[in-house]
Amino acid sequence: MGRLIVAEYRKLLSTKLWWALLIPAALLSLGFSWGGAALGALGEIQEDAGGFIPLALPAFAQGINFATVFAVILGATAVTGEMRHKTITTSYLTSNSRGAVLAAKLFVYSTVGAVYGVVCMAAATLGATFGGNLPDLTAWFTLAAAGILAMVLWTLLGVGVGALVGNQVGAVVGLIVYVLIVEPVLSAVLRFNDVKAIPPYLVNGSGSGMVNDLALDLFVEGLPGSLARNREAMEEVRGFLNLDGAPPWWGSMLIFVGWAAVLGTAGWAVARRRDIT
Amino acid sequence: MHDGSGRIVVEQLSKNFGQVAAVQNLSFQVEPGSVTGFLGPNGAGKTTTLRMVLGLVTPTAGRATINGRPFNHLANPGRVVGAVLEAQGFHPKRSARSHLTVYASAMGIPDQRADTVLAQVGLTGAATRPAGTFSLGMKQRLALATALLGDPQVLVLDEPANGLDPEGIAWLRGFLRSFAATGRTVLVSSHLLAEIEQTIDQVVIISAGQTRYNGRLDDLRRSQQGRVIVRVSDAEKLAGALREAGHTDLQPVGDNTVSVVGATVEQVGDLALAAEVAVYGLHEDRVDLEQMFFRLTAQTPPPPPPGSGPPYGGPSQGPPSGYHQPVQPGYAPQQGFPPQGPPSGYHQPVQPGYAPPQALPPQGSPPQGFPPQGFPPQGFPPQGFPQGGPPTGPQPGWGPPGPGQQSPGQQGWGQG
Repeated sequence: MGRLIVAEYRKLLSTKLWWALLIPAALLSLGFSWGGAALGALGEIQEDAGGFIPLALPAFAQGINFATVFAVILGATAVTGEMRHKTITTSYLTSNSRGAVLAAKLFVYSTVGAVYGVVCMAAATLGATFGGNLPDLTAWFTLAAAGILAMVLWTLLGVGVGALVGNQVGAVVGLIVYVLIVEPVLSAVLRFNDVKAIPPYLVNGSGSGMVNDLALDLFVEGLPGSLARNREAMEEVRGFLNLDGAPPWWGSMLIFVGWAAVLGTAGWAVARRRDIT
Repeated sequence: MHDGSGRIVVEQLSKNFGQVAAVQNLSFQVEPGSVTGFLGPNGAGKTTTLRMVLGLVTPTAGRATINGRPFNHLANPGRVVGAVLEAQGFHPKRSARSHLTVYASAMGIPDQRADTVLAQVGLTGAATRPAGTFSLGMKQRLALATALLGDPQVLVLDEPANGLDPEGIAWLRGFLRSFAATGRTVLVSSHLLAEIEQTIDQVVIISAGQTRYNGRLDDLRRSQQGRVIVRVSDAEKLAGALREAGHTDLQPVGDNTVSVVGATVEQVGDLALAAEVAVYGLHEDRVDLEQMFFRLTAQTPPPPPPGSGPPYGGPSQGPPSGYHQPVQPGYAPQQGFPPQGPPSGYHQPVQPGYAPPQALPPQGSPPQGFPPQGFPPQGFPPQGFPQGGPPTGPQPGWGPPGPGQQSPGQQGWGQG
C-alpha cells in the first residue's frame, strides 16, 4: 500500500494539472475575502452599523465554495485521467489488487485536497489582510478549518464520481453542470413549491451549507451591538439566502461527509470490477 | 504465492460482452522457454483473452492462471508478468522516465531500473521527453520498457509489431527470442502469421473465440508439406505401386489424378515408370503456412463439440494432440468444388461442420465418387501425421527437396 501511495504521488506531481487547478482556486479565495473585507471596512457601512462588520467571513465562505469546484475537478481526474490515457492498465498490472490502487488514490487525493484547502485558506487570509479588515482570528481560523475539511471532502467526492463514471469529460462536465446548474435549479423549483426541507440535504446544498452556515454564525457573533437582536435579523437574512430550514452547519457537514463517503465507496466498488478494454 | 513455473494456463475461458460471445471455451497452455504466438484474425478474441489472462477483464466462465494462480492472486504481479497491450498508454505530458519511475515505485523497485530498461529499448536519449512527443515506434519501445521494468518471468505482448519499422521488428524478434532463451515465457499475439512466424516456436491459433490449433509451429509446417499431383493413364495401378513403396497418403483428386502427400515428383515419376503407367501431368503443389492460417481461421465455427475436453496440449501430450479439429488437407481448389464463401481463393471446403472425427464421412461412401476401395476418406487420417516418427518428406537419398518443400522462414530458427 505504501508503494502504491508513492506511485500515486508521483503520478500527480509529474504532471501539471494539480497546480494548474490550484492557482484559480487560490485566486478565487483571495479575491472573495479581499472584496468582502474591503466592503466591510468601508467607512459608511461601519458608521451605519455602529462598528466593525466582519463581512470578510461570508465572503470567505463563498470563495471556498467556488474554490472547491477546482478540487472536485482534480478529484474527478484521479481515475478518469488514467482511463483516458490508458495508464490505468499499467497501474492495475503493477499492483496486486485494484482495490489497493483505488484506496491509494483516495488517500493521496484527500491529502492533496487538504493542501488545496491550506493554500486557499492562506490566500483568503492574505486577501482579508489586503482588504484591511481581517476579522477575529478565532472565528477566521474556525472557518478556515471547515474550509479545509470541505476541500478534502469535495476532492474525495470527485474521485468517487470519476471512478463511478469512468469517462473524464463525462465526470468533469457532469460534476460542474450538476453543482452549478442542476442542483441550484432543482433547489429553486423545490423551494418555489414549498419543499424547503430537501435542498439542504443535496450534495451541493450540504457541501456549501456547512461552510456558509458556519460563516453566518460567526458573522453574527462578530457583529457589533446586541447579539440577540442580530440573531433575529440574521434569521431574515437566512431566509433571503435560502438557508432557512437547513440543519446547523455541523449537521450539513455530517450530511456532506455522508455524500463523500457514499460516492467515494461506490466509485471504488464500481472501478474495482470494471473491465478494462 | 505462486509456483514460479512461468506457465500460462487458459482453461475453458469464455467472455460475453452483452450478446456478443467474444471468447468461447478457449483452452491452451503456454510453456516457459519458448515464444508462443497467439494468432487469429482481427476480432477473434485475442485481445480479450490476453486481458482476461492479465486480470483486466473478468471472464464469464473458465479461468486463466499465471504461475498456477489467477493474476489478482499474484503478490507483486509486475515482477511476475510484464505486458505490452494496445489498451496501455502514457500520459502525454509525463516524461518517459517519470512514467517508468511511477511504476517502479508501485512495484517497489529502485528507480535506476527505469534507466536500465530505457537503455535496453534504446530510449535513453529520450528519457526526459514527454511521451506525447514520441513516435508510434518509440511508444512501443516505451511500452516494452514498462513491461520489462519488473524484470518479469512472463511477457505478454498484444500486436507488439504495430508501429515498428522493419528494423524495430527485427530487433524485437531477437529480443523476444533471447528473453525466452533464458527459460522465460513469451506470449505474443498477432493477426499476421508472417509477422511473427520467425519469432515463435509454439503457436495457438484461434478464430471466432475458439482454439483452432495449439502446438509447435514446426508441426503445423510439417503438416503442410507439399503433395504431388499426378495425372496418369491408370490411377488405380499407380496407387497400388505408390502404396507398395510406402506412400499411403493418397487421394484421388479428379479423373485419373492422384495426390500424393509426402513424396517428391521424382519419386512419383520413377514409380509411375516402374509401374508402367503413362504420366500425363506431374507437379508439386504446396500450401504455405499463411494459407493454412487462413484456412484455420476463416471458417465459421461450429458449436463447441460436446464432451470434448480442453484441447490444449501440454508438452507431454505432443503437438498433434493440439489438433483440435481435423482440418481438410489444405490444397488448392480443385475442379468440381463449388467456390465457397469469402475470401475466395483461400477458402477450402471443410469437413461437414468442421466436426470432430466421428463426423467424417464413413468409409465406403467417400465424397466425390471415388472408388471406395483403397482410398482413405478425406481429411487427415490420424496416422498420417508425423507423430514423432520419420518425416514423411523426402526420403533419404532422394536429393534435395523440391523448392516447395522448404518451409519459409525456417532458417534462422533453432530453439534458443
